[in-house]
Amino acid sequence: MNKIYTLSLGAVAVITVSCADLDTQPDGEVTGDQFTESVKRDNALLEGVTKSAFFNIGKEYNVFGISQGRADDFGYPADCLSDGTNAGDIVGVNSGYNWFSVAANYGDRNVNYANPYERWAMYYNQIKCCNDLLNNIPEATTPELKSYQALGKALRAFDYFQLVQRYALTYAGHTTDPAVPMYLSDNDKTDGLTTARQTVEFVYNFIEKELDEAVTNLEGFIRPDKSVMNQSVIYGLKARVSLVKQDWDKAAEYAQKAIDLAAQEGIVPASIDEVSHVGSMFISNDEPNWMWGLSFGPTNIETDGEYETWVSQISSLASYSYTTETGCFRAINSHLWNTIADSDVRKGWWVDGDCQSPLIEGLLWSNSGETAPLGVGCGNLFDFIPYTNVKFGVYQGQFGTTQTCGDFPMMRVEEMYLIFAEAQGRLNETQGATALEQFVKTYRDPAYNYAEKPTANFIDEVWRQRRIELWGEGFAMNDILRLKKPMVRYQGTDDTITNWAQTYQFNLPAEDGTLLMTIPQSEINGNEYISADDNNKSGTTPRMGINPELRDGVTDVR
Amino acid sequence: MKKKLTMFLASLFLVGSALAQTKVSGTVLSQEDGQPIIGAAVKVTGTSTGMLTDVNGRFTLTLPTGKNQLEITYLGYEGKTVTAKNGMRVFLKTDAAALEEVIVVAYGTAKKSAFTGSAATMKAEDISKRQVSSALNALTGSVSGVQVTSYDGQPGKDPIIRIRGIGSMSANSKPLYVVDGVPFDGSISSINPADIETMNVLKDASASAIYGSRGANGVVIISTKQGRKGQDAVVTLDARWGVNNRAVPNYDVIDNAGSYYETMYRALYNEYYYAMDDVTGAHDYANQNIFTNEGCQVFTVPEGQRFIGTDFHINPNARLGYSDGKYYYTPDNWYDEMYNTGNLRQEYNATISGSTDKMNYYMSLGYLDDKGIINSSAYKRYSGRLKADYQAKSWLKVGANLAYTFEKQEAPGFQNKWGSSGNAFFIADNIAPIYPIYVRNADGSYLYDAMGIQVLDTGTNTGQKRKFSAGNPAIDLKLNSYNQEINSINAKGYAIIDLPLDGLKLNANLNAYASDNRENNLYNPHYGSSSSTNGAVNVNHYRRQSLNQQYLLTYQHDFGLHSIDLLAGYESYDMKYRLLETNKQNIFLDYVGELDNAIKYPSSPKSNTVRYVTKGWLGRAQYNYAQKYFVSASYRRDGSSRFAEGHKWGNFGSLGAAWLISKESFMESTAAWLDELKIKVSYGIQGNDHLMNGDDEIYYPYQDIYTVTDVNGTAVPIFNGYKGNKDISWETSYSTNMGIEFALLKGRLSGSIEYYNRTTKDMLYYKPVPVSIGYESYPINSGSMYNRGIELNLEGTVLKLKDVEIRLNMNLTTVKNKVTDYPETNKGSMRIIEEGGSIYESYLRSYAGVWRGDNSEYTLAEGFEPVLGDALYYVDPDNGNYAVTDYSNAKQAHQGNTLANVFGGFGLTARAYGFDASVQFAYQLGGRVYDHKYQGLMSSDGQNGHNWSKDIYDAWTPENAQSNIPRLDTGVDDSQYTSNRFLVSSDYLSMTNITIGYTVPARLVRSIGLSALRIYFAGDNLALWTARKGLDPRRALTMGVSTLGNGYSDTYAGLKTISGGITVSF
Repeated sequence: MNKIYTLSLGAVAVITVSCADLDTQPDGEVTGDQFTESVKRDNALLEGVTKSAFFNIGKEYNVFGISQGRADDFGYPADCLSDGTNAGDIVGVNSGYNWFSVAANYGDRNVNYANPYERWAMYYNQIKCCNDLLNNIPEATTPELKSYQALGKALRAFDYFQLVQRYALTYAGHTTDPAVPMYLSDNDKTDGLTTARQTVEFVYNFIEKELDEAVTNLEGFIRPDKSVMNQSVIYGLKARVSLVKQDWDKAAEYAQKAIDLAAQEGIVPASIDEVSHVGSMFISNDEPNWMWGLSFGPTNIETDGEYETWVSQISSLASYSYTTETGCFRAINSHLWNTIADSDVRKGWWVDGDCQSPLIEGLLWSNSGETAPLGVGCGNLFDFIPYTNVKFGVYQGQFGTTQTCGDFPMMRVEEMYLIFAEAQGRLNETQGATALEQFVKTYRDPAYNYAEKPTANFIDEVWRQRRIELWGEGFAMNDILRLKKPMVRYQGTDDTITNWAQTYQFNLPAEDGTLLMTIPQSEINGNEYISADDNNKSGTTPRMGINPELRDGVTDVR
Repeated sequence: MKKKLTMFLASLFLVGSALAQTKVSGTVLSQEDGQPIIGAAVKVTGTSTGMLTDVNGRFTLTLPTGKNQLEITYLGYEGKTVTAKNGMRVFLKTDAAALEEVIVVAYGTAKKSAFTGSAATMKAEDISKRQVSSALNALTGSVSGVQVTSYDGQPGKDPIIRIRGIGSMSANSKPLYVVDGVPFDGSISSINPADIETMNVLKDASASAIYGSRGANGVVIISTKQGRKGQDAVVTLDARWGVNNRAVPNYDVIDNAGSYYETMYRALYNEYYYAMDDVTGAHDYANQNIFTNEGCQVFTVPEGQRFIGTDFHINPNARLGYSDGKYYYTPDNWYDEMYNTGNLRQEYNATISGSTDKMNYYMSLGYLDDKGIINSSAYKRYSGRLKADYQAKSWLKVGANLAYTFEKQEAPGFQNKWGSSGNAFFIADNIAPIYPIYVRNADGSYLYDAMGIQVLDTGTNTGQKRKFSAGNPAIDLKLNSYNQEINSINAKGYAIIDLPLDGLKLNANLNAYASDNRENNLYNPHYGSSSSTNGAVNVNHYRRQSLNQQYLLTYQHDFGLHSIDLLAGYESYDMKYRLLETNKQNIFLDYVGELDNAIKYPSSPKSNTVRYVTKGWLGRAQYNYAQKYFVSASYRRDGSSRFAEGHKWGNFGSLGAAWLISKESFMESTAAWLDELKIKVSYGIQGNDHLMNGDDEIYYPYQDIYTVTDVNGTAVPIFNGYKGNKDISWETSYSTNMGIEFALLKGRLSGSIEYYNRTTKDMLYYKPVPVSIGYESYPINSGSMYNRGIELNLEGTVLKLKDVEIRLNMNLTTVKNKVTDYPETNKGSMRIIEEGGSIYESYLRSYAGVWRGDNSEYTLAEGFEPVLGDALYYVDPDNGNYAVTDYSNAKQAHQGNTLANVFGGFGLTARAYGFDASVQFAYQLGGRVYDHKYQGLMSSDGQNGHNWSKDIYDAWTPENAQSNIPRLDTGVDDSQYTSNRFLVSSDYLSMTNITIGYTVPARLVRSIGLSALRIYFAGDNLALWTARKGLDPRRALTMGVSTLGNGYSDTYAGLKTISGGITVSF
């Protein structure tokens, strides 16, 4: 019987030993506690955190995550693509594979759709990153911490600036309109937070204050790479803001400041030669004209051959792409393209109506063992469609590569030249015209002569230059709203010039409600301060053939 | 046979007769299996002469003069009186009613009559009828209170089980699975259904509260078979062969190219006409775009003529088939081509079981090969089990239960991904009937490539660029391979020690489970998505391992009529799950799915480990007086690693009582017809820590989660969107159960009726926050809801003759779900959760019909100018605004609960002259389901090669002005607009199983050395009746989710299996 007791005691001992520990941690993912603790222990980690805030807006499966695996969920470039399509400058194919057909038919104004949700949430997710960064710096005691703080604030200002332009009509004349909810310090908890739409003016005041502070605190800061802002980029942002506010003096001043500071880093406008290398342009932060870019390298995609990246949806040169493998190429509105002079290098950024461009002559691409002239279908690759863009390059310039990564421009110095010219011209048209002519002549079209411009006035000419130069980079709808222009895709029912599919042929009047994004349903459902009635009124989905009489002063000139 | 019983009965018959004159000998056998019955009492009627049968079932008696009747009795069998005859063989029938049923409950067993809780049992004989790879599928319609749904028909996949409704909002509502006394982590399909003796579903708190944290959603106790006491080794072999087919056909879609084109033409015509008001222009537009819109021309139209005329009919001179000189194009029937016929299913099982004085053993080997219904999809299972216990010492019993399963699952990717070009089900069901599946040469012959592979149309490899789905799932399924090899071991060792105090025992159980899943996927280099990278391989490894320890002290004692049964113990559970995922590209051999066969390194291999730990102290006391009054109480204190410090522990417990009225002396007068009448009541508190993140497991729900990311060369954790909350703790449910059980007319009619009410409080759910805050929600404990209803079970023998018996069974469960306390209103895109509603309250825009130009029919919202045939939606019905407007200006409105409120099953079993037949049905009533797939098939704009339901023929036209289906119009993006228009009844009736068998008479089979032989035919999932052809409401319990990416409508379809089989015992 003693044995029995011994055994039983043994069992009790086992129980005591086996008392499993209830404190477990994941090995792989990082918990909030682990994160905060390690940052506190080692302040140097904050540099990475700062970089990650910048990275956030461009990461793959940006908003919905990999489990949904959406092919339009690639962050900022997806917003730019939607924006250009909405505005009419980027023409999309009418196909079941065109993930951005909702931008073509303005279905993206449907509050339940994924596209507008992504474009809303990605900016706010980045704002949360910025706030988390700022919360990890209770006191900026060192120059490093000061600069991280400044960057967090500046980036947050950039996000609000994007949002205010997408969700409210422009500053001029609309300062008291409702804009977007703001998270000024901490958005870790909702309790006690007023998440109502702030006025346009409130948002702009905040943006300007934060940018001013950032400029000061970034004095002497040397950035790790171009995915992070520095003083020149912040001056660039200030120039953009001033342009919207029609504060021409400041716009010119800041643009000049941005140009000067950028030049100190060796950043200058790309030469004609530099922007005539199809494949290796508009694809890397290393390009000398980029002031700020989203970094998206091979290690940032889940697997090689990924369909859910911006390269797959915008660039026409990689295989494993929605563009090349389903034929959903992104083309320029032929009306706009027709305004480009033959002597302008940019004319070759898009193939012509016969799918030819001087910039792609002699180039080849290959797929599945077949090789063909670039743009001619082979293997699984489709033929280019008329006006397909070859502006955006491809990883390492390799045509037909399966590597669908690539950096995306957030700010180029060329834009600063255009802001400077526009602001100058608003104050003094001659000076502005000179600045514009000098820029275009030097860097894009040696034969350019302002006096022979196709457009009727200076404003339209600068806008035309912006639309061509910045095509696909996210400025199109912002400019339409800022300039209070109509959105024009075609010119009446007998128009056969436009390459917009007939089903998407419609125009919208200036400051039409449909030009604004609508706040997604889930925001409204989760936000006690914004009801469905507080949302932007988009009206009915535009139909084929409406407003044929509208003209914008640019696309109708030739 | 029972040793003690032998002695007891022997004492009754010890006195033989000295006046014996005639000697007779004979054998007593079981009618069921022809086995000899050992220890049956044989008594000469009217005397005290008798004896017990020996190990061969034999007896020898000397009959007193004038006596020739023998009474033969044996416990559990119906007694028989026969005329004595030398060499006679007497067959006894089992007496179901006479056997006191014992059911397996938490940490032990209980007599059914003494059980105070609520349980439903499914037995081996019913499970074995079903041709299922997961035994859980057999529960469909079989037991009350249990709902079974399955959105994935891939063989080897477990269905989703809900017991008495959905008990949680964001926490997992799945029940706890306990296999042979120990919580089980693996998939139930890894257990050979042939090994299962019973599946016992514990539904109320008094039955399952002792499982504490994990029993809140009910418990399914699976008990594997064991040797029958006193039984010599019995070997049973079973083999069955059958074929699978798709159980539910597609919706009634347009099935010929001509009709499809005419419909598309109408949509194009309308787009132009209703925008431009120009008939000629509209016809021009439609004719110009008819082929380009779909990207496929399969008609040859004479030069200079139009394909479709102004009468909207195809030009009679156009003929099907088109050649561009290089290829010939003609549509193929994707549906017929995709589901290959002859999908064999075969299953073989061999078992040996028996027992000796000291040992009880059960061994089995099983093999299942189920080919599914599409190429590359299959499931093979090799399973073995060895289970034995041994009375090592008078005070020590030890045992082990080892189960090893090797599963080879071929489950092609993307089959459950809505909209994916790799999803054979999505494509076959939804593709317009105009596309070729094969590439044909200009002369119409099939094209083969240089390797001899038949070339399929990928939508991009011919002159015709298909706009619906680039790629071709058929070529993927043919040339790719998807292999998962899963080794799982479930090993339990236990010891029961009789402690010196009589009735006191210590029971130690250790259970280790390990499952290793190695997945090799090969994507071929020739065709499809990986041809650009010259093929690709994924190699993944998933390991789940857990250790469960139980130390239980039990004490059982009777004091006269008082009987007590006590249990105290400790249990801990430690689970670890690890994954490793890698991939490589550019392969050499086109049939080898290993990394060494590829050269290009992966960009992101990944691995991680998560752990989940619980521990708990438990106790239970059961008391009964005279087997009439029963009381039980249980308590458990549980800790979980899923909560933060200070919130880990919870206290749970239950009380139950039962009264066996039929045993009361005042019920004697009813004894003739009332066998049993019991009233029971119970109440208990249980916990749930299993917070989910959508469909994903989340092991650290209280923590914010970051993912380490490569940010330009720096490793930085990036917030992945999951926001935790350290204040969360146990969700608690409070269950009440009341019931009556009865048996009448010597077991001819039995049944039970129960009322249940489970209130869940401090619900774990994700509180939505403004998206602008940077995440969508975070978990909290708040609010409460209940699920309540009644359950009815009836089983009756309607006909019982000597050789003929017919039994009927039915069960019915009602469930009502109501949110009783909820601090906010949680609005989703399709549902709303708020106080007073159900958790599946639908919340959709209200479809009002079609604009017919009649102002008296509808009030138009201000500024709304509809076009004839436009879809109309009510502006805000919840606030009484029934003016109509377009979709974007209409508001979501309450559309009512969608959960079915009645469900159950019924069936019939008949036996006659060796034949047996049974048929089982399952049903559901009173719910609704969102019919996503139909919505897709009814889109007005015909999204680029997406097919239509034939119902679209009835769309509004000026000639068909009374239609409620909006005008076809390629310019109106109405297709994905979600509204109550697509909410339909989820009522269904399904025939889950038919079995017909014949048992060859025992005396025939014995002559060939067997003890039993049965042949049978079985059909599973043979028919389904629903609101609409193609709709399968069994795919989701609730309204489903939207088509935004993961609707359950286009997933691997359910299987229909027809088999024949043979069972042999010796």
